[in-house]
Amino acid sequence: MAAGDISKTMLSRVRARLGDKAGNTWSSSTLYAFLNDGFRALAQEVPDGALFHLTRIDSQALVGAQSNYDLPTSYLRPRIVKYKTLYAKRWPIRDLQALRTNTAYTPSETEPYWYIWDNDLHFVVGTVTQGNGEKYELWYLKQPVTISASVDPELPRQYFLPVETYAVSRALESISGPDETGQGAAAEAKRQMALFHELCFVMALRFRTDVPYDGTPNDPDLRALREAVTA
Amino acid sequence: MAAGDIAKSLRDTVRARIGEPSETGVETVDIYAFLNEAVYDVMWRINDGAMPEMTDLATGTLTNSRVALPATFWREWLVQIGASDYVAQQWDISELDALANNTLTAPSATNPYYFVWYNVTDAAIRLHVEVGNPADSSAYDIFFVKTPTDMSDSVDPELTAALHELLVDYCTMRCREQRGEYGEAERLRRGYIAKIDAINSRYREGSRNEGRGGDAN
Repeated sequence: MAAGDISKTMLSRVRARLGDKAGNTWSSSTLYAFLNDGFRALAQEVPDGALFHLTRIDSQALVGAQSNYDLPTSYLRPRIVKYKTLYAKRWPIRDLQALRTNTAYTPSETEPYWYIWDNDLHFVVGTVTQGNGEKYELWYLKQPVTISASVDPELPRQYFLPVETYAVSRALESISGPDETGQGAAAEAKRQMALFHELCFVMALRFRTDVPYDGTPNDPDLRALREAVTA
Repeated sequence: MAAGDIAKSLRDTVRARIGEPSETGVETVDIYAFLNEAVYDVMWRINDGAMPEMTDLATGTLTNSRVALPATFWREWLVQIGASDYVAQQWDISELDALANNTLTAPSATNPYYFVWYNVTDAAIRLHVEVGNPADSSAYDIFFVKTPTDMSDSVDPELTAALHELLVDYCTMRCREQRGEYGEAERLRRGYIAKIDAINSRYREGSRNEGRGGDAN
């Protein structure tokens, strides 16, 4: 299977659902744009535990006396940071003063802190030292790749249905006029978007725990599922 | 019965439901696309206990305390480590520090933990096991839900016949959508969800559903 074939199949399924196989109404570039919006929306709605295909680790060498480092270009949101061999503590920006003056906190290379600002990962460790190629690690969720006729998604097949549903909704929205009857393309676009959110919710239920984001897959909570369905 | 005969039966049941016994409107390739899409939708919604045919077991030995996920991996249920099959506890990424520094959660061969995350060395997603030894090569068992194989004229669905009507319902809904019959599509969707609720209610709520089937709620 050549690169892009999976994306082309997604496009074909969206066209089949829209009844526009030849592209008389929507161009392929338009539908790819909607599909990419769908992947991005999915990555924002579904818990990280369900998005392990998007996990990455940016491992870079520390530079002596340099406390800030560029975030990776694919960065979406962080989870944990290691400074050399230690897990660093995430620190709120508004409380930075505490790291300077509160004696309860004494940042050092053996008690490292981090925060993200101005598109950089910042360490508060006193002075960064570099002795033997030591590195930091940023464990993060990446943005979904932008798919096209030559680029496939990195998320697997089980995630395509909500994304295609999102694209169908956007496509119908683009041709809808005023929704006076509640039965035309505008109403259907709204219904399809509700289905997208419902599917994201079902995915979230399968990966929920008391701890945010992570979790072992579980079965849906039926009452919650019913509420989603009847919403 | 030849391979694909069940798939063809589902295809033709959809044709009967939409009143198109021949390929005059909705094409066969679309019906199979919708049927295959239906399998994924059902597998997101149906309790895992109701589809034992979609569960699988992968076994092997760890390399440097990690292993590639099975090719058909969808979601895990259980990870066992070592010759004595100690059940590993799934661990929150944000709490990894505790596995290194908290005496109450110290990992060991008899108290293993696991998580799924990218690995820099392998440049791939891995199942990581924490037993207190980064070079660990213990045996493992991964109980997981597997991804389905697409059906076609020559490939039958893996889901049991008890769930086939759901696939037909879903596919019929999509065909109606394709025709622009949105109201009927929504009616079909509600019936489809109601059937799923009924099936799920046979399995205990709020728990892992490997239990015995019970009466409907």
